[in-house]
Amino acid sequence: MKRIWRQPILEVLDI
Amino acid sequence: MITKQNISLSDYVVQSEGNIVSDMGSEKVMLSIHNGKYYNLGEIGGGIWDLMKEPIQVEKMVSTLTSSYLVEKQECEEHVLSFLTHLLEEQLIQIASKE
Repeated sequence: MKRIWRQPILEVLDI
Repeated sequence: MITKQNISLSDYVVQSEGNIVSDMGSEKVMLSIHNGKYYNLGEIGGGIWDLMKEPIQVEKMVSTLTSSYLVEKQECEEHVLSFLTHLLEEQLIQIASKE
């Protein structure tokens, strides 16, 4: 069963 | 290691050292001890990160992903190359010499 693809994004967190 | 900033499907990529990685729910978050920044790679990005524990050719990475996810090869290639370029810009990964 293949999973749903979502575009991978690198999110920079402003901690 | 090679320091060019463009990634192609024939390149080998590998995680850079000096990142503290943690799973948060289904997503993967990371602290770079080099620049002090926190990152969220998300779920699929976290999976891609795990594929780079050892040097892996981008083409092989795309092949692995297209076998696991509902995505066309061309779309996957575009998304992966964009994501890897961003990781490279943040110095989270390196382009490895051919293994």
